[in-house]
Amino acid sequence: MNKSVLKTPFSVISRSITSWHKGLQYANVLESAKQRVMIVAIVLFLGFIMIALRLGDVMLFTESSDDSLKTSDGFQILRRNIVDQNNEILATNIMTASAYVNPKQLLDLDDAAKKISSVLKNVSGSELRKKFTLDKNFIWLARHIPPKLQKDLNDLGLPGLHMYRDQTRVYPHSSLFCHITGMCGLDGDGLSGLEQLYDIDLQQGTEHLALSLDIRVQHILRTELQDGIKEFSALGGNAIIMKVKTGEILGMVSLPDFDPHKPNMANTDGMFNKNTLGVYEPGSVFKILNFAIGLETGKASLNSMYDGSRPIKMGRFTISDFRGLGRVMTLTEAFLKSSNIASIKMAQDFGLKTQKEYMKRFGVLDKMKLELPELGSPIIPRDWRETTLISLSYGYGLSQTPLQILTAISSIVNDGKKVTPTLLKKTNLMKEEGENVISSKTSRIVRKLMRQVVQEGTARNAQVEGISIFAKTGTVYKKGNKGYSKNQITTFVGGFPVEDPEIMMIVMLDDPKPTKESYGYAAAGWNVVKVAKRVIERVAPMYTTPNYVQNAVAFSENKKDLGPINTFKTSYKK
Amino acid sequence: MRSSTALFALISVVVGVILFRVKYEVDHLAYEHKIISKNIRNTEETIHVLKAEWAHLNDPARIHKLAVKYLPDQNKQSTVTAQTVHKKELPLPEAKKSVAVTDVSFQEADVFDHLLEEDDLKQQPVHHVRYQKGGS
Repeated sequence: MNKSVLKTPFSVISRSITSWHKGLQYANVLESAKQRVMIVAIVLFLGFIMIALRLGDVMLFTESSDDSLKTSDGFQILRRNIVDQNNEILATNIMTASAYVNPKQLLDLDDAAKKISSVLKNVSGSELRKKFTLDKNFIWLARHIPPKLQKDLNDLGLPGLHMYRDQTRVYPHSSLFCHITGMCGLDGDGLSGLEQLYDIDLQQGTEHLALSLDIRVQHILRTELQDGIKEFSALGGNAIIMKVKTGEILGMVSLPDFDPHKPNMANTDGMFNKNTLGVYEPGSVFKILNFAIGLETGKASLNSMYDGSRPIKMGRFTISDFRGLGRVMTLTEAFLKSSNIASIKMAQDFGLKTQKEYMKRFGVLDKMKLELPELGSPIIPRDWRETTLISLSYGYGLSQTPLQILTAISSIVNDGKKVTPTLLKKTNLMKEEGENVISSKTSRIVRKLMRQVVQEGTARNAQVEGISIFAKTGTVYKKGNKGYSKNQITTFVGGFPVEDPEIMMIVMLDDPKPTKESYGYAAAGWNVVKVAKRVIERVAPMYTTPNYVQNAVAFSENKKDLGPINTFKTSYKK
Repeated sequence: MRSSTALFALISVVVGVILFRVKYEVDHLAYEHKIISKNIRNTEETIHVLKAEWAHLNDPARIHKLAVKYLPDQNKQSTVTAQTVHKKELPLPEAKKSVAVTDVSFQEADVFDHLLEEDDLKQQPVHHVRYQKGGS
């Protein structure tokens, strides 16, 4: 049996060889054999060529699937920084870990829940156990956990417990810039402020967002405002400092504020940016606009006289001056005493149409433009009547955001050139010529009047040696449910130096109370002016050169009003 | 065997050997590259976090607190306006100085004179003196 099996192939081969030998005898058989060999050779040759080509293709042209060989797969942040004008970081992303669980991979749900809750103190084991039994592959345990906690969780060695490399937004100065930068949600999307407005740019852009703000100014503004609020037991306050020539905002603070890391939506007061969203009746500071219109139209001049001896009756209202002179006064006196009567008479001189036209030109009737989503629209009179003319002349009857008030007045003092506020750093240093709202001459007269307010008027407390500050104050009654309440808002609008204004600022205090030092007064001159003075004292050296000689005399003349000179104590009392 | 065949065989062997050496070298370099890239990435990440930390440490409120704690004497004079000196701050010649101190009205006028052009200061006819006509 075995033998026959082995023998069979040999017999087949021997038989075929024998037939081949026989075939050799014939030339045509030989020829056909040659052809067959050729065909086989060609097929094999093509086969090898293909293998060679494929080999070359694989070796030379196929890209490596190894990612590490690609050029610089660097570290990626998911959101650009926000920086101030000196590249100080105001908002940045840092790496964190977020822990999640895939319950289907967990071996023992009870044990895992117990172990995890022992590390994550804020959730109970039973709660976790309940979550794990849900039919889900993915359950967040904790977002953005600190490294220590991450290590503790990893040390549990649970199969199903994973870490996700996450990023979170941090604000190194916590609440200092909260109303400007705004904040981000858990997944890093902008929810308010610049974070919201520039959400896409911050996520996809290549450059950091550079702001015009100066962290030093912002800090000074915030601490002084905070001290002022404490000193005068105010409900809140807000302040803006702006470069007049470029419109760049150097500091903008609204108090109370919030911590952007732990936003609390219930904290509506803190989340509210008074500077751009809140609208207030400007009060006496609006007289600057009124006087500017009067002077610009030629209906008033430095020599104009106004009789302030009798109050003005308008319907059922009587408008009188607060601590007025009660006699005929010059325009300068009217401005210094902030006379309502004189303002009304001046407004009546130039009339309704002119008033509306100039108000439009000053930009107080339209919604302001600024790089923030939180912008309030002004509340303006619905129809322009005689009563509007009168109330607007001393700053009632329309409501403005503090930024808008500041911008309108800045345009007037900036030699009449329109100021456009911005939060972004201006890289283009080409001087943009803004349109003229009033003439340079009117601007100079208004500045002179405002300078006199500091020298001998309501802003006397704002005198700083070496700095020619000019200002106007305002005290308005807040609107209550029915008419006006007894609570006041005090305002300071001013700037320096008077010769060529560089910086303008507005400071407002909400419902300041009288103190012992203010002799029972709660008007602007006794509270908000002091706050403004302390701010200017610290900010001015950064942006201007003090000039002691020119102001020395004017200053010493009024020194008796200043009280004990240790004005810097308040800044560093803590 | 022809000599050319032998030569080509030799060349192909040599090329093969070189190819394999190069391949392993490339593999090694790729591995090193991977490690270095990872290190760069980690370092970049660290720098980024350190920058954030530096910003946090530079928080003016914190520096203020430290200044109050460790520099109690200097606080009394710090942040006063006299950080820069203007040329007008330098001592004046004696004569001018006495004017500045004694003649108040002269100095006061000086502050504004250049703000207003001459015609601003000129007395202008009074256009509308308002006298009381009862109520208005």
